[in-house]
Amino acid sequence: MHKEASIREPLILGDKSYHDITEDVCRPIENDAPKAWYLLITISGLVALWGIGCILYLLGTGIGTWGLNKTVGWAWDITNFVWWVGIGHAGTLISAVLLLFRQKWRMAINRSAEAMTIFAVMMAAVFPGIHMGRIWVSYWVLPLPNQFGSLWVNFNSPLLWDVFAISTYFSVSLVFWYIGLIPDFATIRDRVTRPLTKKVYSILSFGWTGNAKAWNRFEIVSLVLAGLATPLVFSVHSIVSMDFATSIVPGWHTTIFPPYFVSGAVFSGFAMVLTLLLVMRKAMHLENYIHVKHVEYMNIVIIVTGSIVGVAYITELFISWYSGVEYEAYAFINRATGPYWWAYWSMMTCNVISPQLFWIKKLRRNLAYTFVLSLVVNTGMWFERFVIIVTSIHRDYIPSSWTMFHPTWVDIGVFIGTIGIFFFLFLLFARFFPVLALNELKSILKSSGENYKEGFGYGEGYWDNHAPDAGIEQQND
Amino acid sequence: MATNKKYWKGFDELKESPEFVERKNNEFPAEVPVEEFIGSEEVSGFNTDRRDFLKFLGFSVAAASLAACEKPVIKSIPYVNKPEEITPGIANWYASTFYDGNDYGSVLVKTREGRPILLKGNGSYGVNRGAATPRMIGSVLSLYNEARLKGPHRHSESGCMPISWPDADSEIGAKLTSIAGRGGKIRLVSRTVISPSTKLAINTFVTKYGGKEAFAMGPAVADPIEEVLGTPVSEGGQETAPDIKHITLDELSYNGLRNANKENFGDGFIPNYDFSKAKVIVSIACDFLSGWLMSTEYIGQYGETRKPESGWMSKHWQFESIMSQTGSNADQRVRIKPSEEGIVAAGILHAIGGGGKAAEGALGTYCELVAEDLKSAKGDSLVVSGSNDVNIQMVVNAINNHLGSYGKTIDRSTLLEMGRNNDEEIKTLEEELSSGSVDAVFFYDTNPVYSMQNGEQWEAAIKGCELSVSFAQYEDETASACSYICPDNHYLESWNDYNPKSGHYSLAQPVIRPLYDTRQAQESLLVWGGEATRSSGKDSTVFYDFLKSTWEKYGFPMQTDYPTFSEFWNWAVHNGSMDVKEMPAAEQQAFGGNLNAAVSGATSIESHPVELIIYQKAGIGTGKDSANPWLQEMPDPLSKVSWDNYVTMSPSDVLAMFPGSLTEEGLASNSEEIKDYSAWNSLYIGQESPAHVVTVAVGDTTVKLPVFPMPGQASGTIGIAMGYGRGAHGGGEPIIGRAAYYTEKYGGYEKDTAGNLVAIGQNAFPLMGWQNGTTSLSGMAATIEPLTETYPLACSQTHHTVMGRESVVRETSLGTYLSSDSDTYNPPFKLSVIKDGKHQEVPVGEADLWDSHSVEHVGHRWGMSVDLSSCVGCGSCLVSCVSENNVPVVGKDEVRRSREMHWLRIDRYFSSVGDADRNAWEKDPTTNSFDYHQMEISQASPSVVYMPMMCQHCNHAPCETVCPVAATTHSNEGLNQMTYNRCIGTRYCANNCPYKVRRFNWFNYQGYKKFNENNPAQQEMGRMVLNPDVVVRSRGVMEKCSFCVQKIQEGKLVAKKAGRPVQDGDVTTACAESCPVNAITFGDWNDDSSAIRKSSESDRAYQSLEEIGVKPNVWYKVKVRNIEEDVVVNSNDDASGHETEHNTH
Repeated sequence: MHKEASIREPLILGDKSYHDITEDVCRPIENDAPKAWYLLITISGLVALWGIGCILYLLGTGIGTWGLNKTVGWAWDITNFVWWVGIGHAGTLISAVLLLFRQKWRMAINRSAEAMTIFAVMMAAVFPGIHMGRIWVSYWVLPLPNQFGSLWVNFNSPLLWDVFAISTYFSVSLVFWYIGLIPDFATIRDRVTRPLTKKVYSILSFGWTGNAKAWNRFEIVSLVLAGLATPLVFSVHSIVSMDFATSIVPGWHTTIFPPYFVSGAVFSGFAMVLTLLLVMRKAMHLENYIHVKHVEYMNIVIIVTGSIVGVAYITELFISWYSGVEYEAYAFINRATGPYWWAYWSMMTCNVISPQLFWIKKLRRNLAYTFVLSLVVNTGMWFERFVIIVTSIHRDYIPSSWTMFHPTWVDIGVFIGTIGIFFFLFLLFARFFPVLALNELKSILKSSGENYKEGFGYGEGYWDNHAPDAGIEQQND
Repeated sequence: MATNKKYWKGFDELKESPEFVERKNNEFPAEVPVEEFIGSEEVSGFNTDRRDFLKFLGFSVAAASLAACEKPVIKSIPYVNKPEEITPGIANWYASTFYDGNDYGSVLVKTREGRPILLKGNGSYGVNRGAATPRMIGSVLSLYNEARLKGPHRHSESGCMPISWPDADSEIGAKLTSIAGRGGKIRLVSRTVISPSTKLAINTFVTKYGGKEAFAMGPAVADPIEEVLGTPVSEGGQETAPDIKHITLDELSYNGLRNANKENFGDGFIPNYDFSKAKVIVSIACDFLSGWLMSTEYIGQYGETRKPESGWMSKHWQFESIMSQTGSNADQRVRIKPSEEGIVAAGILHAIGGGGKAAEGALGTYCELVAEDLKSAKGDSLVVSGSNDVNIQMVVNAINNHLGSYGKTIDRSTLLEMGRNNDEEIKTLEEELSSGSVDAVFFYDTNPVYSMQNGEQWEAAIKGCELSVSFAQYEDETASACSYICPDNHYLESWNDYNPKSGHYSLAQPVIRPLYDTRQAQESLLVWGGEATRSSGKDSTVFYDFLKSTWEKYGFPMQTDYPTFSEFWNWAVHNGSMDVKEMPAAEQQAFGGNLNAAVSGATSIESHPVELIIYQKAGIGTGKDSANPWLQEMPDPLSKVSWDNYVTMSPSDVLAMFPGSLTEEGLASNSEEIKDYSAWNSLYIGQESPAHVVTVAVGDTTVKLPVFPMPGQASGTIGIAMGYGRGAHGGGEPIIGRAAYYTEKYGGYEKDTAGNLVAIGQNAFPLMGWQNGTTSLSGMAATIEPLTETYPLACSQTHHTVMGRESVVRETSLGTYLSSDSDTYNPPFKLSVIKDGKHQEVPVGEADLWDSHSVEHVGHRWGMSVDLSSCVGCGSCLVSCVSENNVPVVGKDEVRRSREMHWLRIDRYFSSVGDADRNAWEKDPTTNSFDYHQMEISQASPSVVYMPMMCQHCNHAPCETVCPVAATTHSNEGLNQMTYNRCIGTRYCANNCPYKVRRFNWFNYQGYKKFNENNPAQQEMGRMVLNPDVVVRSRGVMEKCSFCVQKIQEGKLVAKKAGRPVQDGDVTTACAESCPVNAITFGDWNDDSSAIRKSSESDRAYQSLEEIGVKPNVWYKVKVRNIEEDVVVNSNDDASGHETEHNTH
């Protein structure tokens, strides 16, 4: 049986009963959405439309509408791709890896983190598609039997590995997420009264009955999928990093990339989870489920991964000098002191210096600071990819070809657009899907709920009537 | 059954109105007088039997069908009747000659299915020995310029209207007769005519209206005019003699040189220079490799002296103000102001002990050094000056005379016919024109409204003439002022002959039927001269017959090789040129002239704080082809700017001017090296870093141009290229060609407030000066005013130094090359490996993680070598590559975005101020340090290295492994191949290419509106220049140099058909065959005896970036400079520093 220190904070605050959890999670789905939701979804919808417009213009006119040039063949496109893939890391890490490690605090955040993962990977997948010169033949990257003679894909190419890695990761994450949703959909199905809604949720819930056998299978499938997803968490970004690591471009050709990219991805993924959840918990009144303790745990992950990233940066610098390779050395000198010094130092500040402040307990338990820092980390990680991609190739071997990269409005439009689409999807998720894994949460209520830890557990409002002298101190907020 | 129903066709018939009845009766009114005809006695007397009838019938049918065959409206593939000489898919090559008044050369024209698509120098015949300038190679595209006039035009009140040739002939003829009849002045203005037949045609014309013109073709004929044409016909014995003259007007004047020779030798000739014999070459502001006299010949000769394998190299000194093509190749380059050219010349003369006047200060030192070199190679030296000042040229003559160069490197018995314009004569014409005394004026191949200093006056004066005729192919500046335009053929549609220098004759033949209803100017002159009548339009043979008869009369007797004229003629046309072996020795006058006056004249040229030089750019030249998109897009060899002209200034001068106020002497003399990175960076011109704009004023004329900070430019001087600002008079019409005007970012033309198209750049000719009796293109006193606005320049190379990367570019001195083994100047790259348990250093080629492609010693392995030592950076290879491989033109905005598509580029590196520090650091990293930022700063007077860079066809190609769809693969002949239709456009290959030679199709260049104005493939006619052997790439795919795989295939097929293995020389690439200095060698590396194999095994051969192990199939050869030290000469203490001390910061 689960044991924990008595001083450990409970994971579910408030005076929650099983029913309370169901009520709290289903309330936003069953009630009318607040005005703010409509406002936000309109804004993000418009931004999304703008982005789609930019993408259509790009596809109609040519890649030349971006600011790329003969020297810098990838810039914002692949930067955005890697950034979104990185963000898409946290969800599966939280649900799969933490599941295997029996980290119960994950249950409050895994649902929305996984949703974020799905949407982020979708956004990421946009870029390798639209960055192709001829997207209409993009299916050639798949090893499909064809009538082009002996033409086959090139298994040496890391871009091909990418195709496999991302598509596998996306499918497994999607299935994992959806399996988790099934019992929760069933709960909603059982509660809603409107026939159409009921119909929709009953289809979504795949006829879940909630009998013991179903739960048993649910647990097994979750475990199996967690086992499958865990290596994927590490493989997907390792392989993305090989897009660079297997090249001969100074600054890309680095064996440190796989672990460095994975930790960077976890780093940025957690930052994005924090950004989203800190808003969501407030907006959807989930403060009792996602509270300071959760934030603190995530911040610890951020310190750890941020430090790994920092060490990686410094290792790269050291190796560039130690290798004695002129081009390698120059690539890093150029990063730090060349025309893109501002990008490099933004990256350094955002990713290495500011997360270290989380060693201070007060700061890592401070929600406002955490929110600001999550934005900083997200910015820093975007810059990291930009620095790696652009500053490496804008000045590589032959000085005559050295150039600068200047984004066009289409570059910017597409990027902002994907953010718009992402938030649009996430807002839909928050409105129509159970944002917490409510049935899973119930499984830890006894061991992690506040009242239960105190030896009570009679549900919300019970102590208003029954305990006139011994109130429970609220530990939250 | 009978019926009385009446059928009628209309109410008229029903009513039977009288009118109707009348018309009905007259339905076939014309009575054919058959009876009369048959009844006549004459006819009935004929005895036409059945056989005759059949003969007539047969003849009529045949005639009718032949007549029907006369008019095939559209000639398209497949041929119905295939011309005998054309096999679809097989190119035909024709020998011809290019001459535009500036460049001359024998060329070979490649035609496919009757379309000329490529030009190259004729390697077998002609003085240029295969050399061709970018302008010559690009001229094939101008043939298809849609702005060419489609027929004769007349200017009237209602504008420029097309007329027919007969109308033009009769109107012009009538006016001429009336003008000549009343003794009016007739002037025929042309550029230097070096064509004997054209001269004769001009004669015919001039003679008809009462004049007489000198003519010479060969020495045999005393007075050909008398012989050919008889005595001049006087017009009806009128009292007033007509005044008709032929005047020569070129953009570039060689008057100073001709006058100096007149003074020194009694005859205003231009001698033949032979640079191949010169061990020491001293050039005083003479750009003899690009645009000076017979530069197409000199460039090859110069190249011969730059190959160190022979144990010697020419020592090339250059004194100049701007960084010229020639100067950039010099071993020692000294920056002077134009006003110091005379001082240098006199100083050298003094230093070699031939009189003159010693130069002071640093210049004096340089003169001494030059003199030492000159004296050590006495006779085997050549001093040339690009000045048009007679005094300077006389001093230069004196130097050459003192050193005994005449008879060795300068041949006075072979004289150049080029550059014959006479500035005084033109001045007179100008006065006559502006006084309104000229009644009729003809302009043949000259454009004074554009190229004269006071073009506007010319325009007004021409408009005032009773008759003004231009033979221009376009409605150009002069033509649009003329009352008639009788457009000449393009030279590829024309017959012509040339006599560029004594003893050498060449022919030009048409390679395509005239595209439009144009007529060769010579034919017009012959028609107006009464010598011929034009009969058959485009297929007229008037001038051909005339030319042939000239050659029969004069050319044929000059040789003894061919017994019959037809044999001679066929071979002359086939070869394109002929040399007359035995030239009678002309009388050679001894050196004379007033040297002292010349010296004092040359040394007392007034200097100015800011002196202007108008120079020629390699692509644009004098502006004749400034609507040619290939040439506009060709980056300038030095500035790497395309699609614009600009003011070149020394970087420190630019810094002094921006920011900060400019005083009177503000620009005067700051020769300080810029060492401050941030200051240097403020001069950076890139995609979003536009150039500063200034106004330059010479006298009352001002131009507004952006500034390009050009390392190597003398302080206190500014340079502006000629040839820009053309065609601006056309209003809203692209009158000289679509590519001559600025375009908008998303396509369409940029227009000024009045809705007129804006011509690219500014015309520099109005800034010309007049000095010492000749026009002057340098040394004009200019004032320069900084403006606050900026202007984007399109630079294809924005970083100017090689950052000390010795594995990219290697150079050494001649001394080191000769005295040491290759490990010293060309060390192989070694890798540390563990072998047999021991630490070992092995050559990088031996350490390999991969299985090699089995290309070595199996079948062919195509390879290339590029000799950096002889490459002069002229750009011919680049334009040739564009022409051969259908490389898309992308226009200024795209070049600015670093998206030019050139498969072959010429990297140009300046030596940097940090080079010395870096060299010291290489030797001992502990005690020295260097700063990468300083490495980015070019020296004030840098040495230059050119490096043609194309796909290196790596045997371990990084691009091949990363392509997800295997669109780029390795062939079993060592080629790195690009399969366009498999490419999905991920651009990973381009990122992973260490040489950055891959080019991506960012747009649909053949269709997208942005490229409508500049991409020839978007135009009906321009498309004709495309090489059908090379696919036009679609949007979204990667492309790159293919080693001209279509030519490889062709060469292999030729060998196969001949039943023999491929031999060295069967296969070559466009760049290799266009290189005037033979710096590029191409061939089969697996062939042990091939030139490329030998070249790759030379001591100087290295592979760029060898250490990254990509194993290229291209070798470069170490650049060798004829200098003392291995360290590049750092002439910070340059001459212009001696004038005054000036502090900029």
